[in-house]
Amino acid sequence: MIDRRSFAKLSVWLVLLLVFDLTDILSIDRNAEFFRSSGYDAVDMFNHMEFGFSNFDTILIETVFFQTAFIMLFPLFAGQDISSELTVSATYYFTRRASRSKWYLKRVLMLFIKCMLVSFVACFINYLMTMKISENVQITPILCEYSIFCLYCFILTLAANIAAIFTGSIISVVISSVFHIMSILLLKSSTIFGRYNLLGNCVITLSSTANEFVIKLSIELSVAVIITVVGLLIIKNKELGLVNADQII
Amino acid sequence: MNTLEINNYTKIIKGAVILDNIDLKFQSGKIYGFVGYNGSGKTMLFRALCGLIKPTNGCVKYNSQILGKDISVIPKLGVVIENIGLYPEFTGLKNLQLLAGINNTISDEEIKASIRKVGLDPEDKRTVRKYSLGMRQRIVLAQAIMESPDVLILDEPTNALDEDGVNDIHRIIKEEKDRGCIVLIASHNRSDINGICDEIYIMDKGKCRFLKEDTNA
Repeated sequence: MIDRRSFAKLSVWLVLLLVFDLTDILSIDRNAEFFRSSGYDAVDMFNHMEFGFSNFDTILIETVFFQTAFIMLFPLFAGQDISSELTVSATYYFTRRASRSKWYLKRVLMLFIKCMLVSFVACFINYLMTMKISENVQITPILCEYSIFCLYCFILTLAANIAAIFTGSIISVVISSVFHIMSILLLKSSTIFGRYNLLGNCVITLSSTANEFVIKLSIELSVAVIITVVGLLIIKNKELGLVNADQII
Repeated sequence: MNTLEINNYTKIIKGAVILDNIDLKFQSGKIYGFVGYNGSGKTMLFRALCGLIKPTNGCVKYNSQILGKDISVIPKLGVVIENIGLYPEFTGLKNLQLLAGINNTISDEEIKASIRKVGLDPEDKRTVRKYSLGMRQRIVLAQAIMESPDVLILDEPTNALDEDGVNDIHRIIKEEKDRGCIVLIASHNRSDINGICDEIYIMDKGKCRFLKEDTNA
């Protein structure tokens, strides 16, 4: 089923994202100057724009926080898509066809597509910015960045949906935001623990970080699969129409 | 002849007995009414019959096949469950088309016919969000009857309807009965179902007892 409403919301979201990143594009020269004077290259800047900044000055954490702030907002748009569909019409759906797994997996796939779109736009903007700094931008690190970013977005939003199935409320968005802030803090801690942070710094240079990228991608893939399976088990076993003991009859 | 049974069905949630050893049998071509106060367990009984909840004890059988074991859903089941809505951003017709697309057994014309049958206009461009409560009740009934179900489960189908609306619903329910459908209807107001049911049961604190055979049906 094509959920036009959620795709319409996504369109609004992408426009907001473009506006949000417009500030970066406008300040590209200032940013570029900073990176050049600090001795970093174009790929470094690209990494910095998303997650990887572990080797940079901690003053940039605030910048990165704003750069990635839209991820916090993404669950606001898509964090209740699956849960609201479940509460709205799943009764009529599941009394016609029992395959809850198929219903759930189809919606997870839709969510993933949305995350791909959002991530693509974000990464494409940064790609354009990076091009401004250096003409020799390699596509591989950008694809790596994109995959990491996309999976992160997916994990966050799916987790928000699963939380919303339990709570039936906007609290899932708050939880997602907390997750995101925790991620930012992890990034900050990476300046203490070195290069091996959880999310970022995966493609600073191709030769030195290929293994690191594979490790991060594997971790994110595993987390994504675990969350998907947990969601599947919840959907399969959920007793529909029951929210809590006070509302059951 | 189709039969729907609920055998020694008990549902306990967080220590509270919601359905207490319910044991009933329903047959084709009959209308069964359930009355009881709000919170007596009517809706939960219907959810159990639909297979939307799992029993603590007992089972639901359709034509001797155990629901959730031998069969996943009751084939050709029409349901109206209280407080469960359709997609508010779609028109009534679009909602029904989406649901009909799951089994893909009926045409658009049949969907439109069922909408007309409940007294609505299938060409109405308003979304369900803009429907009145009575119109929502009618469109939900249309989704329940559109696929000519063998079992029709209606929880408070006359809620928010005026007298004409109630008469329309009664007429439709009788037509479904004459077609050979098992019809189960619940209401907190006994007068809503008086005169149309073959048997009436009363629900109270999760227990169900036979009240009377309605000779007016």
